[in-house]
Amino acid sequence: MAPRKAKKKARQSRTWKDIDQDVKAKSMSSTALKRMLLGRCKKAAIFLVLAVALALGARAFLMTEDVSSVLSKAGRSLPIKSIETESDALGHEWILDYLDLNGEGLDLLGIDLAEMKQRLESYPQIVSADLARQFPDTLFITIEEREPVAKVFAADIERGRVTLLVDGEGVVYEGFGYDSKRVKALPSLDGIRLKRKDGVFEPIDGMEMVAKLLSEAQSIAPHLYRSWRVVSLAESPNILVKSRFAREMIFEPSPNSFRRQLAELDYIIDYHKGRSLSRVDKVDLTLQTQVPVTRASVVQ
Amino acid sequence: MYRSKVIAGIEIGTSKVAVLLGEIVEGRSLNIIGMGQSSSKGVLKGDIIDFHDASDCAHAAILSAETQAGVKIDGVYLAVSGSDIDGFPSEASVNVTSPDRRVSQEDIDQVSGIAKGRELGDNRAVIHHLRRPYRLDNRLVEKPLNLEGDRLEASYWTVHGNGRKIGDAMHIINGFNLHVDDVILSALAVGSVVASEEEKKSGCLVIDIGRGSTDYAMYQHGRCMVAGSFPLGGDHVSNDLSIGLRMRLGQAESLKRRFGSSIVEHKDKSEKVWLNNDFEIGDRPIPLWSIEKIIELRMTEIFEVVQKKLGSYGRSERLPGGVILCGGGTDLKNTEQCAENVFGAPARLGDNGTMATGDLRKSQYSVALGLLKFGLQYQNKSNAEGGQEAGFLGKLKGLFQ
Repeated sequence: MAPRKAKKKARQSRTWKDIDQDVKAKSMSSTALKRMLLGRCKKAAIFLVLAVALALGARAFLMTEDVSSVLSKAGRSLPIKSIETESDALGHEWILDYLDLNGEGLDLLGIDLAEMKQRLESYPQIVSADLARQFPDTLFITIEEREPVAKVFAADIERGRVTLLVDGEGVVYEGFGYDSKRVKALPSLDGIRLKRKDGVFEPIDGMEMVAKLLSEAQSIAPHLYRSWRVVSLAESPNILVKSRFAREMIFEPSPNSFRRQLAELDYIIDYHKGRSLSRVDKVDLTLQTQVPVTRASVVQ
Repeated sequence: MYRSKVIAGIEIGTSKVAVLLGEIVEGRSLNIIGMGQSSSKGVLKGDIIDFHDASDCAHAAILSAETQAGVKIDGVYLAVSGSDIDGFPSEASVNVTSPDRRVSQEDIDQVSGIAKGRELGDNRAVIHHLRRPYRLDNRLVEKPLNLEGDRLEASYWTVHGNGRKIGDAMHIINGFNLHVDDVILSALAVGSVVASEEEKKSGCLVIDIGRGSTDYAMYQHGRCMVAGSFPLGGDHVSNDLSIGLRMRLGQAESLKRRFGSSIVEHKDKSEKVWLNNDFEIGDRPIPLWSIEKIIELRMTEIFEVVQKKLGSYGRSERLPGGVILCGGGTDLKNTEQCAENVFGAPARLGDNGTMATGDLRKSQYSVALGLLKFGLQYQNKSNAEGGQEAGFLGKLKGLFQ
């Protein structure tokens, strides 16, 4: 019985409410069309005024309100529990000290990553820095440091003689956190004049070529590189190197011929060592196939 | 906090389009704030036969009312009448299901659903389901909930019309970029204004004779028992005069207005009146008896059609509240007497005095006034239902309206 009743109850006859009241513009009288268009224009005008008012209001709010403080207030519910760092010579502790991140209760949303990045990149040893939040409680700091290719000694009024490092782009900086053996193994740079501007050393011109030569020597003739004590730009553009084997070795500043020049130098050294000849005073590798070698005894 | 709502009662009749604007304040009181009227074109016997002409006339009247009131209309209550409006009783009964034999809301919903579920023919659309009093074990009850009994009967008078014709009338309103909130049978709108609650309870009949159609609504126990419309009206009286006395329709209309009476007053057949009363060529004397006789026959016929459609509800003992006459067709002298002769019950001319003053008391505004009254009642009902459902949220929402 129940389903029968339900069927009867569900039956519905059509009413006037089922008649579609949508109307097309062509069915309207001219009066109605004018009225409708006027109404739409009014609505559009009101919408426009509201939109402009909203935009002006938002602009005024952003100009008067300190948005950063508002954001930091809103994010105090995410304390930092872990800070992960990735760097070369600069250690984890140094980074935390430098960025004042040793305190308690730091908020992940409250810290200003852009400001920290700017602070890190203003340190001469750092090429670039990346900071990232990993929710809910970890901060990642990745630092790319300069690669020193040579060292240079400078006189400081307060500290006396200080050792500075020079990278492949000629940037001079006071290295921090490097292993002393690594610094000691670097050749000294000579024949240059350090200039300061706004408390910072100006980059050294011509270092790109020196860096390429040193890099090439390090990779294909490490036994030669290890004996190099001084690299000088005194005869720029030629590169002058002083080593245990020769007082002066002059390289032509041509990256394509560095391999050839190093091979010739290696041959000359082997030749001299094999014949127990006296110490070489000067090797000029700039003349390509002709390599004049001056021995100490000849000069004396 | 309620926002006032402006509603319009619109009647697109055969002779005129009448628009009344009402402002519903705080969902309770109604102020009539605007009125617009225009002569009607494109409407014949209550049916729209020329959409554009009818639209132009209706839109002119709406615009006039809006301009007068200086407001925009929020919703429209539209009157319908015409040749194809019809009605039938829909009845159903169910056994009371609860063990204690008390009527539950489920019983009421079920019996109402079955009664209203009768399917109509193609293109027919329901306009109203007019509920009559319930019967519980053959005794009349108004609200059967929780009353004890075995069998519950529900009865409705279902008013329906041609969906396409109703749609035409609605699309005229939609064409003014307005939405039709409700469609109401003209007779019901008139009845809500001219008949008092006491008359409706004791039993009365409201007849609105328009130019092209006649609408009727019979009330008993405070509810409408039968209502309908048929395509006979004042135009047919004029048409009969025109044919019977061999004159143009305009002349017949003029003669009807000047000398018309719904019963024969002048039995002297030699008593004559002038057709045009200008003593020029073509003017001729017409027997007054002939005019009155033709009108009496036609008016009697109209009342007899109503009586036939009412069936047993048209008997005089069911009409102690009498017959209430409205519309332009009842402007003729002695129409009340003619109605009394047919129905055997007292008859009077309807008056809008309970709702309006001045010009609005004229019966030509009865339909539009009744529509506004329906709008107010609907608003009251919506507020009452909305208030119960929405609660605090509703009040909060009201603050932003």
